[in-house]
Amino acid sequence: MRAADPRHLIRAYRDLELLDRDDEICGIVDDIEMAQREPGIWEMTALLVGPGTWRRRAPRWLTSLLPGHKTVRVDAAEVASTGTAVRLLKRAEELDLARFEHKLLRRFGAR
Amino acid sequence: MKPLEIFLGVLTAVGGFVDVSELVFMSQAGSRFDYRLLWVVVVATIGIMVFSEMSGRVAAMSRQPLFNVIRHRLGFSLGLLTLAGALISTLITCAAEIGGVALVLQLLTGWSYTLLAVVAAALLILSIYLLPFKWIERTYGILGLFMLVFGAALIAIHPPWNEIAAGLKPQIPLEMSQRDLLGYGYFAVALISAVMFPYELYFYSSGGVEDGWGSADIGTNRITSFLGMGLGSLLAMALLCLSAQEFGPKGISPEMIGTVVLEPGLPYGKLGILLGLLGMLFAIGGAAIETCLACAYGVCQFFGWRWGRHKKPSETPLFTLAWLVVFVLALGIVLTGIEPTELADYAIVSAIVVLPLSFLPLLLVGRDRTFMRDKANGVLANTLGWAYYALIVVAAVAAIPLYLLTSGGKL
Repeated sequence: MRAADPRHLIRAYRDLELLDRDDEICGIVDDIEMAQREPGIWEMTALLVGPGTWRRRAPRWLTSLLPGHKTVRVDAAEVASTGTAVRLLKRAEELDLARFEHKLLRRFGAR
Repeated sequence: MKPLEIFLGVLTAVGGFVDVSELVFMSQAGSRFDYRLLWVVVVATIGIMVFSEMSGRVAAMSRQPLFNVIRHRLGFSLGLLTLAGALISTLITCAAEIGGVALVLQLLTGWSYTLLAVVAAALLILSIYLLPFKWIERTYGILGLFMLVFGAALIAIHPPWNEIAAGLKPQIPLEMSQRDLLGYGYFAVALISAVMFPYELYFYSSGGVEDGWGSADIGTNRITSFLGMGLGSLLAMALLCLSAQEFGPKGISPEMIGTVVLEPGLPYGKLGILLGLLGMLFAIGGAAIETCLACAYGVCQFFGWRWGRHKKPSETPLFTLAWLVVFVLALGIVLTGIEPTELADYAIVSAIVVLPLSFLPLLLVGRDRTFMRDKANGVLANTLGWAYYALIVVAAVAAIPLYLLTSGGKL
């Protein structure tokens, strides 16, 4: 997705629920990576997911209470659509998303 | 629209309307200020109707439950603060509800309160684990209709209807002493908070998403919100009126659940008390489940974990863990020995402080045509929404000073 104003890209993706190919929740878009491809045109190049991004967005006293520091980068090419949620073209495991939850799912035999 | 679904939805909303905070505050408000706070209940009821309809409509149109909306609209930091505040307030409320269930069970059996608190928590956990989502709501909501005995008791004692009607008129009784006026203010804020508890919206909007609501369910949502909340509120008002009629003149302050349940006992004797206790048991039990699930919904929606009771507990491991932890923590609070009515005090004050942050994103997304299309807020919903928003901001600012100045309404 491209936009003249980077704030439009942020509004379109950031803090929305991520759904994988099977329509399963696999995280929240914690931040996005953008690039200016040509003057005045911004493009979303990747979604960033995970506690590693929280430190950039919130005061340290707040994020230090939260566990984890990993960030998963999901390339823009893996994004199918965005609206009230961001839909992905692959399954969560293939993109290394919701790893802890999948570990628990395997542990409890739900996968 | 399916008539049976709507009928059950309304019954569930009516039976599930009253919780331990409403029981305590309605009865105390009636005993202390007779009918003069009835208008506040009416004002707060219209408010919860407006916001629950809006949250259901947002869930139906955008498929976004409330904490998704909160994070998307407020951003990570402010969203996280809202989540923390909501969790603290809802956890305290959950503890008050578990304590309330234990007290009702104690009145029914005479067994130890501590043992019954553990039993209550275990039974509530089993309910969530075993019952499908719709049946959790319906079982507790419909059995909570035993509370209707309070409404019947009010009619049976032939209250002064003209005084009740006068209580519906907004008023500030300036003839009161300054101390009483502060108490009146505190109870007004407490009643707004008790009727407009934010957990109700977290639960309601998540339930809408769980039930797969779409644009075809807008009508069902509207009827459930307006009729269910409206009729439920009549029940809450009956509590206030009974207390004004029976306790106020005798100088009784109903600070214990055991005192409140005497209200239907006056016209109907032991049967009235038994029906009242059963109604309280299921209404408070249902509220305990709602508060517990509301916490788990909030955390999972904020961090993007799988959530929902439409799936098996093993398919939503972090959600299951979250609601189990909430029950254990709430039980831990109860076992410290703090009275459920005292917990209800804390819950009321903390809830009103969280309300503005919870409702703002809802108002913003409700009027956003990108997400809501032709079901975005109209002029009436926007006007009422913002007017109520101003009211809850004022109530939130006043809540803590009034709590401190009146020692939680006890002065």
